[in-house]
Amino acid sequence: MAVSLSKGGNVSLTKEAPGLTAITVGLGWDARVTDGAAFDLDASVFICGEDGKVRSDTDFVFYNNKTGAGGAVQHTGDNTTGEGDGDDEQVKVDLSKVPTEVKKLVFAVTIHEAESRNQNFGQVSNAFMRVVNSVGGSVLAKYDLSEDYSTETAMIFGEIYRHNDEWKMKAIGSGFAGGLGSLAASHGVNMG
Amino acid sequence: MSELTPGANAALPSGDLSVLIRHGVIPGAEIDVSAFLVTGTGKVRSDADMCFYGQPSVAGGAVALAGTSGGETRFTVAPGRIPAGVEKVVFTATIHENRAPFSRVPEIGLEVGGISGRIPCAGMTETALILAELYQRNGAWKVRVVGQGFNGGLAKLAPHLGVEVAEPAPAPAPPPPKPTPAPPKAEPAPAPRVEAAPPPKPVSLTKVTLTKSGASSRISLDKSAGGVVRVTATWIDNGDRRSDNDDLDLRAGILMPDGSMHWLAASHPGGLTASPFARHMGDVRSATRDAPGTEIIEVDAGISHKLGGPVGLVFSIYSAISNGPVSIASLKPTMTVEYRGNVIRCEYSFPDGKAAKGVYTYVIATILVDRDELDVKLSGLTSARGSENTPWITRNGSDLNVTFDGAPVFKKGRTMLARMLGAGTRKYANV
Repeated sequence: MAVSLSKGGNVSLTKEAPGLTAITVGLGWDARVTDGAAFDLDASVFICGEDGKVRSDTDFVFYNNKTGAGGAVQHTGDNTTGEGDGDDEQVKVDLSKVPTEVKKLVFAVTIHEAESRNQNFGQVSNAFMRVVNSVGGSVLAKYDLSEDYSTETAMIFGEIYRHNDEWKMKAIGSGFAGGLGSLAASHGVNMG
Repeated sequence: MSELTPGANAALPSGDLSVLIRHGVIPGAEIDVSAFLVTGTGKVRSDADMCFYGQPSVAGGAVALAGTSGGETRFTVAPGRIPAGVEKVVFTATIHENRAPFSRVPEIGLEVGGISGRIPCAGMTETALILAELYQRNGAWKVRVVGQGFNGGLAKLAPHLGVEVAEPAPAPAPPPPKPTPAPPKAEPAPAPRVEAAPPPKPVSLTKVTLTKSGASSRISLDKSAGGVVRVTATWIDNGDRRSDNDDLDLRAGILMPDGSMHWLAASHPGGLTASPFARHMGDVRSATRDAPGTEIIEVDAGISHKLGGPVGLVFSIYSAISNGPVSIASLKPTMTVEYRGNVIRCEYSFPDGKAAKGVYTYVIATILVDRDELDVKLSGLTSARGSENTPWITRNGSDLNVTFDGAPVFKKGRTMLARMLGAGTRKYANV
């Protein structure tokens, strides 16, 4: 049974699924039903060390850099409309291959061209982040963001982090001004 | 507290709420603001959950339209009285007949429970907008400003909110094979004679009963005698022991020689002393088996001369909305056309049962008056299920073609519903 998280809450994925080695982090939202530009949400991952920053620019996994941490983190591709049931974008994480100096994976979602399209998360329905055990496919945790956003255009959905010998998930749900670029810069990515 | 912009939400204070929407005005285009009570699926449970000026109080007064003036529309909402199952109250603004996009107003403002919101409208191509929604979250009510909509106006917004729009009209039933007209002399009076073929048509001087779709008969009009042609529609109580659902309406569309259409009904009674030279004698609200309901339209026998050309009339029976699901067919409507002792009776057996449910309009017959001749043709066509469209006629020589693309016409107070449901676009000159 999946643990349903609310903002600020956390759960031990390792306790939910002892022997957990690989997860799929799914991010989803509903496609736009009214007229106008589609909501194109992009999932990104920051692979962070002890200091909360990326170790190098390749630790910023997003639509133009789909793998990180030597292949342990894999972005499966861009969905530009939110069409379809279930996850709209997925990131596969082989926990057993994540280097030990990596302390957390930060999952962020940004709205592509939010400013020119005049869009924000408050206009997007049913956004969520969930963690699925890659072995067996059971849902370990789910965080429904619906009421935790408003007019943000970039949001940190949640983190997967090490705590002693466990992997845990924390629901963050906090907005970030300035879009993907400044979000990346704040995580130590050299945006040149 | 800062103003909410599209996408933003805020908690509402408990207790009854007043909702003020400042939408402004667009010269030449009417803005209608409505509220829809929707379930968790985002759809209304029925048309009774639409709050608009034709239905200003819904859910026992839990949501009510308090009024519109000076570019502002007010509602009252009593969250504590909103029925279980309704999860949102969606406020919308629509521009009648899509005559302008919302970019014509600079912005739309919203005030509810001490919270204000603002929807900038610059560049908007939409003609129907979801302005805001009041919704329940963890047992408390919140407001979210939406500001999204549809370029296609109400026709696109209505189904989004679960309001059924009319299905496309089905192809009319094919007319029966033409009976071979018997030579007039061989037919003993007063046996009914029926024919479907265009001219030459002999004129009947006897009682005729039309029972088949497409069957027709003629009456000669006496120019010197003048007088009126009396069209009487009759129906019985449907036997369901309720006296409140036998309210059918006889309505007519009059095709003028110039091609325009004039509406004739209890609400638009017309008159015999001036155009359209036809009048509706008034609404009758109930019927019993012993005392059938009757509505009458009188047509000046000289209508074609007075209006200056051939005049077409389409007579239909309409089931008022308050009837609920009653089938018009079960009330067995018939119509007679009388002129100076000539009687043509229209007795089509409209199909009852499942197929008749949700059919609001049955066309009994058309009449073409050309100078001194009157040609009655039995129709039997029905509107598409769920459609409030009115029957429309066009003339092709001596033939009248019936289609269902006339604009809906309602009794007073139903015009907004007409806009919600109506796909018919052809407009009557006098409505």
